[in-house]
Amino acid sequence: MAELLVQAVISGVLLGILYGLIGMGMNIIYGVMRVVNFAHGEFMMLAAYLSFWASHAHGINPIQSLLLTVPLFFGVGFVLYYLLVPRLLQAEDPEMASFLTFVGISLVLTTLILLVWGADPRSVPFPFKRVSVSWGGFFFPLGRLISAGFCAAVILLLILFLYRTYLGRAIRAIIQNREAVAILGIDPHRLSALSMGIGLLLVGLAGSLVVLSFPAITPVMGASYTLVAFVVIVLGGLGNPLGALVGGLVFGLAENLGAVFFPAALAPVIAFLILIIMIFWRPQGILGRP
Amino acid sequence: MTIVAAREIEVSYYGDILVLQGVSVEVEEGKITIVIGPNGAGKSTLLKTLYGLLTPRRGRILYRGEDITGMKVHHFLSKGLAYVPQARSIFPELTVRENLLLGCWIMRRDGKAVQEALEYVFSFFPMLREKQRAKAGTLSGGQQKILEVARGLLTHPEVFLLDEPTATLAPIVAKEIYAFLENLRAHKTTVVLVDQNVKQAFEISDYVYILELGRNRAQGPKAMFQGKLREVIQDWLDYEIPGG
Ligand SMILES: Nc1ncnc2c1ncn2[C@@H]1O[C@H](COP(=O)(O)OP(=O)(O)OP(=O)(O)O)[C@@H](O)[C@H]1O
Ligand SMILES: [Mg+2]
Repeated sequence: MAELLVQAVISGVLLGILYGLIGMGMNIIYGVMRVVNFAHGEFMMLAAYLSFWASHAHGINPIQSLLLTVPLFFGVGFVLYYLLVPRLLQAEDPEMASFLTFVGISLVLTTLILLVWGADPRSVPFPFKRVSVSWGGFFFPLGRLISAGFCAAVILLLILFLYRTYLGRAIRAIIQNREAVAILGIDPHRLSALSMGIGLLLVGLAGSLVVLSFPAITPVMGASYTLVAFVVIVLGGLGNPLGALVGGLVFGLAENLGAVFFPAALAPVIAFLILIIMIFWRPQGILGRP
Repeated sequence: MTIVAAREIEVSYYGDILVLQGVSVEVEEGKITIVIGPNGAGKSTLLKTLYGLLTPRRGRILYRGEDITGMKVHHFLSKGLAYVPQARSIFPELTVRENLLLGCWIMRRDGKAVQEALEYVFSFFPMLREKQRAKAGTLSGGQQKILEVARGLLTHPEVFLLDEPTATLAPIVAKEIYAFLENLRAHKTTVVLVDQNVKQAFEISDYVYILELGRNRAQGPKAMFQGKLREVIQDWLDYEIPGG
C-alpha cells in the first residue's frame, strides 16, 4: 500500500508539473486579457498533432519538435491578439463576445485536426529505448520524467523572466492594473500581444511534450485539457501565474492519489471534488488574493 | 511661454453627453497651474485628455506648439510629460522597488540612468528606500500616493500632471507634497495640479483655472483671486446644494 502511494505521488508530481505549465499559460492569458482561453486544450492538441506529424513524416522526436512549435505558437498568439482583441473590445458585451470567440476557435481547431489527421487515435512512437527507470525500488516512467524535467526547467525560466526582467514585471503589472501601465510608457496592446504569445508558447510546449506521457492522441482530447487548465487556475488563483503551478501539482496529486483508492475512472471526479471544496473554502484560490 | 495647451476641447465618455464643452487652458512653462472646481466639474477629465487617455471630439491638445491630439498614452512619458491619476495606479502585488523600476521603463536599457533615477527619488522620499522590498499594496494610502508621485518623477519630466495627489493624505504629509511641488518649480518643472484642497493648492499656485459644469468658469494669475477665494468656493456650495 505504502509503495502504491509513493508511486502515485511520483506520478502525480510528474503530471502536476505538466498541468502547471498548461495552467500558467492559461493564467497569463487570463490575467492580461481577462479572457479565459477556452481553446487552450485545443491549441495543446494542435501542438501534439504537430509533434505526431514531425515524428511520423520526418522522424523528428517530440523534444526536437519544440524548435518548431515554440516559435510558431508564440507567433500565433501575438498575431491572434492583434486580430481579435481590438474588435472584441469594441463589442457591446466584450466578455460574451470573447467567450464565444474562443469557443469558436476551439471548434475550428478541432475541425482542422479532424480534417488533416482524421478521427482515429494516433500515437507518437516513444523516442527512448527504455520505458522507465527504477530507483530505490520505485519506478519512474521515463517519458513523464523527461517531460516533467523539461516543464520544470521552462517553469523556472518563466519565473525568472516574470520576476527578474522588465518585460516580465510589466506582465505582472498589467495583470494587476491594466490602466496604469500605459502612463509609464508601456504600450499595453503590445504587452498583451506578447503575453498572449507567451501563453500559447507555453501550451504549445506542453502539447509537444504531452505525447511523452500519453502517446495516444485524438482530436477531441482538447476539451478535457481546457477543463484541466481551467480547474488548475481556479485552484491556484485566477491571474496568478505561480498559483497555476501549485494548482497543477494539487490537481496531479489528487488525480493520481484518487486512483489508488477508487476505480481509475473516478479519478477526474476526485479532482473536481477538490475544485468544488476549494470554491467554497477559498474562492480566490490557493495563492489568489480575495 | 505656453508649454501645454488645450484649445476648445469637447470630450465625452459615451453617447452625446459632453463632459467638457469647449474647455481651453494654457499652461505656462516652469509655473504651477492649478485647476479647481466643484465635484464633477470635469477636472479629471481635462487632465486625462491632456495626457491622451481620452481623445477630444473637437479641439486640440498642443505640446510646445506641436499638435499632439490623439497621441497614444504610452508616448507621453518619453515626450517629457508625466501623470499621476486620481485613481490608484500602483501595482499592489509588486514590490515598491518593482513599481519604481517600471517607472523607469523608457530608460530600462540604461542601467546607470535607472540607478541614478532611483537614488534621486530616494533622496526626496527616504521612506521609499526603507520600504523597497515591501509589496506596494501593504503601504498606507498616503505612502502609496508618495510612491505614485515618486514614480512619475523618475524620468525627470518637464511637465508633471497631478490629479488630487493629497486627497487621501494626512495634513502633515500633504504639506510635504506641496513643498515638494514648489521645489520642482524651483527646478523649472512645469506642474499642473488638480486639487480639492483649494486653499493649499492656491498658495503654491502661479495661475488658476476654475472649471464648472464642463466649462471654463474663470481664470487668471494668482493675484487676481487673492482674497476672493472664499467667495468662489461659496459659489460651488450654492450650486451643489440647490437653495442651500
Ligand atoms: N469613466 C466615466 N464614464 C462616464 N462618465 C464619467 C466618467 N468619469 C467621469 N464621468 C463624468 O464626467 C463628469 C466630470 O467628471 P470628472 O471626474 O472629470 O470630474 P472632477 O471635476 O474630476 O470631479 P471630482 O472633483 O469629483 O474628482 C462627471 O459628471 C462624471 O460623472
Ligand atoms: Mg476628479
